[in-house]
Amino acid sequence: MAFGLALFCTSILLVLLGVSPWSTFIAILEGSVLGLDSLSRVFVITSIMSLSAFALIVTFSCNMWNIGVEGQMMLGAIGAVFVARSFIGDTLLSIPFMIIAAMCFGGIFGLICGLLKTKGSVHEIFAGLGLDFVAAGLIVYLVIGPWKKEGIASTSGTDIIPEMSWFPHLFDFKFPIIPILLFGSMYLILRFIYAKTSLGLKLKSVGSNTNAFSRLGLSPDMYILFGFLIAGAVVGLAGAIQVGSIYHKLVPYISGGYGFLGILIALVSGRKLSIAIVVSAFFACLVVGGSTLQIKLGLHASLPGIIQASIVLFWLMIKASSVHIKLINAVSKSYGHS
Amino acid sequence: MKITFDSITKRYGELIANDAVTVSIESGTIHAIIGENGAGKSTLVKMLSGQVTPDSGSIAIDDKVIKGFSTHSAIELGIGLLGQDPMDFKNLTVMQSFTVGHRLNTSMMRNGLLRQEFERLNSVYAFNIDPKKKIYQLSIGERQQVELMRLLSNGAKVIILDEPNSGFSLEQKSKVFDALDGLTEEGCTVILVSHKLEDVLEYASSVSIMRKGTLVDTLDLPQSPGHLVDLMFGGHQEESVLQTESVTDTQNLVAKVQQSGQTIDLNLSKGMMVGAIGLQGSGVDTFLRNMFYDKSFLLTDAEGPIDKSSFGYVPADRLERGLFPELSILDHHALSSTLGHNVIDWTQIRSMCEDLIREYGIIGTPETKAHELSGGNQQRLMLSMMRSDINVAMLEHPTRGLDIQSADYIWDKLLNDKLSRTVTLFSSYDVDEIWNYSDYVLCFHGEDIVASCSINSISKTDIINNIAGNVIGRDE
Repeated sequence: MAFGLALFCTSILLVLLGVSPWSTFIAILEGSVLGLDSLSRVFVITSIMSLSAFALIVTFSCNMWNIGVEGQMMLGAIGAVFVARSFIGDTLLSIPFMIIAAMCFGGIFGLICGLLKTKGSVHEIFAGLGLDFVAAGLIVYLVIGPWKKEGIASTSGTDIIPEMSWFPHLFDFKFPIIPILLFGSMYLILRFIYAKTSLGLKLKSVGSNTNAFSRLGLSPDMYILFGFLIAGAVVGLAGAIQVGSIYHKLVPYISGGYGFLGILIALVSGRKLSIAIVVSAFFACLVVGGSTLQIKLGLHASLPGIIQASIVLFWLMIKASSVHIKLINAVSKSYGHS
Repeated sequence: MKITFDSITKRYGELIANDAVTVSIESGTIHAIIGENGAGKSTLVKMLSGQVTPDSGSIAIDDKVIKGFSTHSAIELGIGLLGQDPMDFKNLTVMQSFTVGHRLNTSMMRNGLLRQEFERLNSVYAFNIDPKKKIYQLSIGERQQVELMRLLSNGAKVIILDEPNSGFSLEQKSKVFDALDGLTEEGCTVILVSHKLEDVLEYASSVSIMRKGTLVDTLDLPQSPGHLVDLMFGGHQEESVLQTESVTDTQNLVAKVQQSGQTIDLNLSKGMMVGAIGLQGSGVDTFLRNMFYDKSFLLTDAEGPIDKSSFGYVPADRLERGLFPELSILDHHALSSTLGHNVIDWTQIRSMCEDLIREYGIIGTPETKAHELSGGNQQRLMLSMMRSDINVAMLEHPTRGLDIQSADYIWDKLLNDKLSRTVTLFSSYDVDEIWNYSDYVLCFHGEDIVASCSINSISKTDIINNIAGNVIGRDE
């Protein structure tokens, strides 16, 4: 309901910009889910977005703003490239080790943010933001320094990694099996943690009240660190997907803003894992389909971004103002009377 | 101002906090609302202060129905609520907290004027609050006092006191009520939410009795206390007599206590109930908390120091230190009972939780969130979370905000359990509570422990003299 209203408001905005909302949305739909190539890209981007949203949901449950999510994704990518460039990069072992390395690198980077928060009393937003810059700088250093292309140093990226380290597509229709397996298994694991384990409950409680938490003889710091560690590891996987499925090399700003988008997705989905996947899929369609708008309708390249941002904005506004609840009540009342 | 609640209903999930409550409160009176814990008293008055929105029904002020009640409109109308958990700013000083939202606090800060006003009220009501202290350094009672001063000074037309009793000494209470009495003559209306019958009988002119979310009756006072108790509890009041088995003084337990810079050795005996008493604002407020969190605190028996992991602490400020506001009762019990377990057996936890809800008489379902519970029920939830393997229990004001029946029930339980524990410590401002239940007493005056001895070697008067700083009564 709220989502429908948000689409409606966005349509009005499009009309004001002199664009037909109907043909825009149709074009986005055609450009994303129709066609094997684009559908495959939708799946990959959904995986990346879901993983970053999951990471944010974990830290939000501890009442922490993990702005460092971009940096953690970049570190995941560095980890994956590190393995792919090593001696096992051209063997069957490469992909599993890329995944493990991405989780470790991302997790440790998350942990640093958590340590700055708990031991160094640095607010997690500033710690995270700072670490994002550190990660971005680290990539640039690697790309033009130790991992530079043979003979030249260019910010266009490192050498392409060996093909054995590319995440394979399944069958002829380019089904990106590894990204889907990664985010699917993370979904199941996190669901299990939050529904069934005392770790999940503790992550939730430490976010609700740290005083009450320490009263029970538990260390709030330890569980906040756990939260950052898990979040970093989860979003590190997104970095591995960027490397294994999309770029096949290390490029500057490899996170592509998907980490920050994950914050929006986590908020819009009400911090629910399953809804986050649906929202991610929707945004993935916008990203993939949006890129065809320019070609098909001759629209400006910034339009997909405008659509994406305004949907989030309207959605949050509508949810916060509870307009949709009043509407639902009004509708159900009028049905009740007739 | 005349206030009319018209068939107010409020639900929290399955819990009906108010069920079609209709009450009319005349202008210029002190009107009491009484009822046992979770009867829906606080919910009702929170609607008047705009903190809670009713699901249905309406509120009228001077026969005008007010639509869309909010905290803002309540303040505009001059309605002030003094809650059980004061709504203040922890990081501000007392003076700053007093200034925020004060009518004299216009765009030009009139600090001098505000300070004069503060000092005036401070002395009129015999409060003894240092305006330079930070709010978080104050006890709950002192924070209530600051709030009350702000409300009075702001010219509130309707003052709601939600269980204020615990925060005031007798002298302060009579001064406050004298002031409120004076205000009613000027047309102010005072609503007193309480389950202390003696206060209600002494100060109020009319009373509404609530039970399980419904209004039982509204009566003019005086009435016989027995009749009111019957109405509050539905006529099933049982006289309970608590059995206290006193513990022989064997001194097989030593507590090393740090208080205001000095170290004191307390020679206790296993199974003792140790009561700490002092006035509002004295060292007693933070004594147990410091002991629980202080790493240097040692409790030693013949076999050496007692393991800290078997300490249990029940703080006075429930939502700030005790409970997880956003978590359900079920989550709370899962958390307290599965420390050390990895996978939670929810079926087992649920049946345990349902047992505890029944046992402690918590009004709520396993899914009710802590912040949706009434103050008294939050207290029960905290007590129900105490694990049975706790050896050292530290309880701050264990019966704060509880009605007589619940308080008796809690004491019954604590006294029952005390022999199986190494030691039970509690703090209180109430001499009777200390006198009735302690085996050993610690008296605080200011920050110092001025007397510590077995209850048999001190008289009730001596305790009062000690905490009041009257040196003649001191037994050392």
